[in-house]
Amino acid sequence: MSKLLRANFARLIKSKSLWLCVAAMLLFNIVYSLSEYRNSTLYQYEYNTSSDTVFFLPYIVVGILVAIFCSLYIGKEYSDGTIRNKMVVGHSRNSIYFVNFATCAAAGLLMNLAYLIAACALGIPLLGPLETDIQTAILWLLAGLLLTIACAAIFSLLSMLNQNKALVAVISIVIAFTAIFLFAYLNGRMNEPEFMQGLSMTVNDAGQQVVQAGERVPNPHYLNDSQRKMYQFIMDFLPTTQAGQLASRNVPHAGLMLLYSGIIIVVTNAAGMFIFRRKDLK
Amino acid sequence: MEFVLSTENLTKQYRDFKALDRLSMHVEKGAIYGFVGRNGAGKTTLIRIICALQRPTSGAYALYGRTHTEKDIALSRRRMGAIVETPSIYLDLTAEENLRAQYRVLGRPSFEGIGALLELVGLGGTGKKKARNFSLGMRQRLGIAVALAGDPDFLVLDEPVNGLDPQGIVEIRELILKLNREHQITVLISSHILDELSRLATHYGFIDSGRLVKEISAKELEAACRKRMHLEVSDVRALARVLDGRNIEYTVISDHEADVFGQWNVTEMTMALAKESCDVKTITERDEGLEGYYINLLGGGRHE
Repeated sequence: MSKLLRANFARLIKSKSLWLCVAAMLLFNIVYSLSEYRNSTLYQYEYNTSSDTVFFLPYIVVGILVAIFCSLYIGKEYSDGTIRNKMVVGHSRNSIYFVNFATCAAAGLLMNLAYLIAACALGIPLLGPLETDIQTAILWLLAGLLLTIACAAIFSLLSMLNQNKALVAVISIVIAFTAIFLFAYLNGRMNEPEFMQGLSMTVNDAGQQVVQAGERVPNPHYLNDSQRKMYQFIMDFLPTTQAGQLASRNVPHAGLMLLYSGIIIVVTNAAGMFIFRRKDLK
Repeated sequence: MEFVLSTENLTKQYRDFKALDRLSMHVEKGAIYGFVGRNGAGKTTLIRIICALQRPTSGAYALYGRTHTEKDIALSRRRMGAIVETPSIYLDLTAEENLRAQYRVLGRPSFEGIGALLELVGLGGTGKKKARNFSLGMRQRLGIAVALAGDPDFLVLDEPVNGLDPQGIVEIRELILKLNREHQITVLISSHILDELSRLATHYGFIDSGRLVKEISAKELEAACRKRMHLEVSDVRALARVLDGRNIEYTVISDHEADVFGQWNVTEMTMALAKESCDVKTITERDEGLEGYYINLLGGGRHE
């Protein structure tokens, strides 16, 4: 396996896709940090900002970039046929699968690292130090790193089990974006108020419309307890919804998120290896 | 006799279609084994299976005596190199970078020998040119170089001259012969370009509908394909007496048929047979070659 790791990492370092993704992360940080700094100087009385807004933001973008990277990096092994060179000379399918996953995970971590370095170099000087306590910050950063690895596990599975590079790229990106929309939807539903303010609109004698506050009425979109638990479970379980929680710095179950990411990594890799071992390659 | 590859009742089934049907074949050490069959006969399926890209539905194969289910089959695989269908090379890398990548996969301690390998396949001067910009022949040769990176004893080539121009075909042929003669590499080569294969192969395996119809050495094939006259006569014993009297080589096929080899005078022969009260019904010249042998063996009516 060490031979394959060496070969894959040598290829990774030369991968244009990797450096484009790293550049995208750096650019994202620079643009966001400068935008936050501009807002804080323009609207300094209303806009209370710190580098926290920048530090925990990257994971949603990393999810998308890891999806793209995995499909391109692993897809190339299939499109160029070079995965066959590994099998012909006796490397086991489990090793080939695991090393490809490890390479994609390393690429995802490198993207995170690039963002964090930029956040330290630009975010802290412009926006001030972190306000989140250091233990929580470390826990959130760990959750972020683990969800990145979980993303790599999911998208490696897709790429390893489908030999059509273009199709996998499209499916991976669609999944990554769908997961972001899912977070937005779940978050919106979870923040629905229990009651809504009723309004009544009447026309007075002078013919003018008059709007008056009425009774507070129950919100039909408000989640009951069991629904809320289920929504919260999805929010804690999926890597992209975890990323959304970290970005909004509203992370009620960071420990559980670590556990769920670990479960995703183990289960997807085990399932992927099981299927890949039986797969007929062309 | 030492076999590099042997298969026993190898079967591969895709739902309702049997790509390989109890196929048994034997590739001798040092041979250039020509694997012949029409499109869809099962050549590539067999190659994919022995290269571990696919698993057989039933049956077994052995590489250097180790069956494919043995744990240390990887040790045998390290002694082989292969090109399956298309050359497996990174198109965005140069020839040297491709070989470096394969050296790492093999875990070779240094990159020593890459220059010599590139020279061997005739890609010594490609420099920084990416494989993407190589001609088909150059890619094929780079694919062979990658397959040779582990110093294999057994090289598997699936349709290596497909799509090549005449010059490319000659270059690949010379390379294969050089590898076999100078480096003692056993070669399994699948092709349906029979004329080309007949210039290389020392052994042949003919496959049809997933079954190995015939395994034959080039010498046996040559003997079977010698130029001869096929005679249909009323009395084959009389024919035998006449031929024996003239010391002419022949093979009796039935009571009325025989193949007669060598040069002889037809008029003189028919007159001698008439004296023996033997009628000559037909005389047909037969000169099969590999193509004729193949058509006779597998039937010519079902070509795709």
